[in-house]
Amino acid sequence: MQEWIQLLIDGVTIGGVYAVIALGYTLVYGVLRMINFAHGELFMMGAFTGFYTLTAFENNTSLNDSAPVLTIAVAIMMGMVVAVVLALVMERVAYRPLRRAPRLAPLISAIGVSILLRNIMLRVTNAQGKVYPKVFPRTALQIGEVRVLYVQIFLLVLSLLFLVLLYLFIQRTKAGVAIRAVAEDRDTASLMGINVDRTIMTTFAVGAALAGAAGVVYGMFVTTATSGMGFIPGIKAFTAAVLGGIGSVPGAMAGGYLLGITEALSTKFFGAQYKDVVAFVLLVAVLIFRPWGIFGKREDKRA
Amino acid sequence: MKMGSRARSRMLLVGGMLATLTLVFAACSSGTSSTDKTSTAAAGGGGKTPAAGVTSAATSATGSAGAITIKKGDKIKIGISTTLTTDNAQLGIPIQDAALLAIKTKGTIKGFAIEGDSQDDQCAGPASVTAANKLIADGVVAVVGPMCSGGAVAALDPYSKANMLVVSASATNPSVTAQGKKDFFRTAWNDATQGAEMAKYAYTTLSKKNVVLVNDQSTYGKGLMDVFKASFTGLGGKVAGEEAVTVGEKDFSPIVTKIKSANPDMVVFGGFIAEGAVLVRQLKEAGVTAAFMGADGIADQKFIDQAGGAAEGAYVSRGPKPTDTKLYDAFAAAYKAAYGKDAGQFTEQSSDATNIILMAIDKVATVDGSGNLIIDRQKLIDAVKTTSYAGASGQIDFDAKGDRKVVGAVNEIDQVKNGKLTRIQ
Repeated sequence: MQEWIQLLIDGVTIGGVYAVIALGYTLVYGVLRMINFAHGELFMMGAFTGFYTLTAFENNTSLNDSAPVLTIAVAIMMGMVVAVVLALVMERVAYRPLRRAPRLAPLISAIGVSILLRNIMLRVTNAQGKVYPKVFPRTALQIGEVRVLYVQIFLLVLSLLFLVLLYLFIQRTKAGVAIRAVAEDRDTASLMGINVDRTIMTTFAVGAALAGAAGVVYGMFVTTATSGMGFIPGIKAFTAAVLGGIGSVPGAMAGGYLLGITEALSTKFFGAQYKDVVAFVLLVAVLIFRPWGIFGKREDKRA
Repeated sequence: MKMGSRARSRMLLVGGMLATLTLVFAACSSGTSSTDKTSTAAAGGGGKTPAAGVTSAATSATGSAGAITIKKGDKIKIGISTTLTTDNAQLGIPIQDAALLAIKTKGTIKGFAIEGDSQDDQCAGPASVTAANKLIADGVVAVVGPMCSGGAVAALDPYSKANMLVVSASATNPSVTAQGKKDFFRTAWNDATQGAEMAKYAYTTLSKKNVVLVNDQSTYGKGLMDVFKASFTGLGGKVAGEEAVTVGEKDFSPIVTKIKSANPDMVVFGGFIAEGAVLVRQLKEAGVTAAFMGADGIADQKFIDQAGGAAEGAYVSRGPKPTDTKLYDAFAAAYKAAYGKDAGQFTEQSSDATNIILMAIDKVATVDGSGNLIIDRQKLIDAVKTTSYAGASGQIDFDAKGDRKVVGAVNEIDQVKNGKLTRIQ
């Protein structure tokens, strides 16, 4: 029983990461009908920014000891800023010129950006993983045999907080309305006086900020940063977004948690080497019965 | 250096397309690399051979199955197939550097300059086959590599069809030499011995009776754990669980949870640095007190650095250092002087592999009347077969399968003490 609870906690932790990254995929898909395959690399860049920021703080011990909360907050902010800047450059350079091109062109451009960023970091780090400084006490909450690291609680709280904030942003703010309008119909939105370019940039920025923050927190959780670390979470988050219904914000959230928890619990039956198989079988199973995902809208009526 | 956004996006686009094409070619070429056996030996070097139908313009040597001709003034090319991207590049790049250093040190053979031609094999089958086809097309004389066992198993076929001499410094899986290819040799030790020695050490010396095995799903990692399991259960030990990690993943929580409830005396890992370092750290954080044992894939200072203190006390098996360390020390000093870094795992074996190839070329290469260098591929392979070389990694002689004959200690066990690998057996 305790092992089940422990696996559930493991699943919720990684599920939260998937959910936050999946939001970026789903937002961009919503407005552009395009999968940004370089999204996982924004997550990776966030993790590296977090590493460099926290290392700089670690060397400044007085600040690190007196205000650990502040250093963590600054690291997360830095991760977000770097990811946002990169995403805006990426959008301007690699995607905007291809906006009217066939759908496959920006997709391939995204794969190119992904390879580029990964290999830049490979060069910078000399292929060696970076070890995160210890910012969280590595002790854990012990309930019977079940252990929960403080960073896991932090990760869970933060991911839920981001989801709520994003929901409010999309539903309650003017920029959010603009994003929804562009997602609905780009040309009509433009005729209604919405600046489509700016709205698309906002969408990229919001998705990137989430990925960057997730990268820093994930880095603190797994205490490592490597150039290839964005790839698997990126693919999994993409799966989560499709599972939940791509284009849907609650769908990305639900898909992320569902995927993370299913993966973790499945290891009890099949061993960890089959958890990717389980994840994709789940995806196929859902798509057979609901091709538009759990929360997605049917697209068959769209021209 | 300002580039228009359109130009740059186009550049990225082309990059992406090239990457896709590479993947497509990797998939196709493994099936179509059948080499024509007709030899155009010593045909003056001008004619294109069927073996190298896609010879690039820069290629000067004819890469036929029989003999290779290097025109006067051209360079002797030595292929290097190793991992230059992904996390395993931290092992792969030093392997390349050591080979390049050996080439640079040798300088020339019979007046011909030598150069390295390195290709990324990504420690995987498909990329290793792509690298093989590229090196064959480039007209290299011999190849150092592939780095990983999985890559070697896949790439040996195209190499042997081209009658290419291949010497790997790091592919250790038993199945590599079990294929019976006559052109393959390795300066690494066969895992059939390493796995058995690890099991013996864990069971007899450390009195560990109950272990969990973790592999990285590679030919190397899985193969080593299979050998370990067979030997360990043969001795009377119990394997409480077998788990596998996905290469590139960083969160091993579910595996750690399962290991914790299996409550073993020892966790044994078959895989490379990136996954090993994360695993050992997450085990410690979860409060698992079982000992940790890894093998030659993590026998490097980088494993200890990336484990961030959690590697302390871990046992690491590796090929044995020679008792007389004079040659190793000389190599390590030269490596440090050339690159400013300490020589890591497999570098001495890579240097030895390259030197064996260069010595063999020196022995069989002849200069013809018009000043071209002729190297007979079969004679080259035969020369390596009878090699007896005192290298940085010890005395090297090959058995009939191309495996390294064991001299002295079969294996070495190190333990991480005060953040350094320290030999304990």
